[in-house]
Amino acid sequence: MKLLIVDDSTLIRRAIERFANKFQFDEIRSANNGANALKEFKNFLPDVVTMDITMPEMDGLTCVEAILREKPEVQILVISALADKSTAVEAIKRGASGFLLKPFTEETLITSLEELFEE
Amino acid sequence: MTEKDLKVFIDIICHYFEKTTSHAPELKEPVIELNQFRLLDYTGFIKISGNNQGWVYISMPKGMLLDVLNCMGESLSDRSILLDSVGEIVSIITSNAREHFGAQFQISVPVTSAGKENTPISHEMPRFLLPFTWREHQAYVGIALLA
Repeated sequence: MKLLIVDDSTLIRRAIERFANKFQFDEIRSANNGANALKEFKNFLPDVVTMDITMPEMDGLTCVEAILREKPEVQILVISALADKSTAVEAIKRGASGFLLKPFTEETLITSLEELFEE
Repeated sequence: MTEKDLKVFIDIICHYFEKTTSHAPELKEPVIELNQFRLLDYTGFIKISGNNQGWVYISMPKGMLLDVLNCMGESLSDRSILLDSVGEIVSIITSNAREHFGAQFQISVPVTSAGKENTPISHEMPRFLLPFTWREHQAYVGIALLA
């Protein structure tokens, strides 16, 4: 299993990587915006992606759609602080498998990833 | 900016620090600030557009940011991670406010600065300042919003 972490914040990328280590991914890579994530995705072909929304270059929801065109079976967990319900609904409409609101804790991230795997 | 709007930000600030560090901040009385900014060592700014126009910022001393990172389990402590972190904190606090202000409360990526002089906000723009203490540190959230 391979994980790609997409977020423009180093703090968040590193936190997700620390918390996700529980799942013993074979490899974890990261990208700091949607455009770089798409390039990395094509080389890396991960099974799971965590995706921020508000990022420079290409926003996360546009990136979700682009990634799903490359590999429709990939599981994408959108992790965003945008707390209006319409954002979460839009993420799911665009094909995300789950939505986690920031700020998150190790416990809430692990629960959200477990729910992806259960699906 | 109404009293209810300010309460939204106060609740979000409390929730953020409680959830990420397990230590609750103590909010003080909001004050209206004009002209000179009260900025500390590191500041993150978010530009607001859409139905509201303006800025939200958080300004924190270096010692507080280092303590926050330590509580989160982050081992890096260089200038780059401090700037990144203050930007991410203000981004999360402001983005969480969309639950109250709605999807037309549009949020930029953060602008960050180190030092007490640099601000992208016009000095003439009046703003509400929310002083708070977290553990022994004093910090500020500033809200300069036009309805």
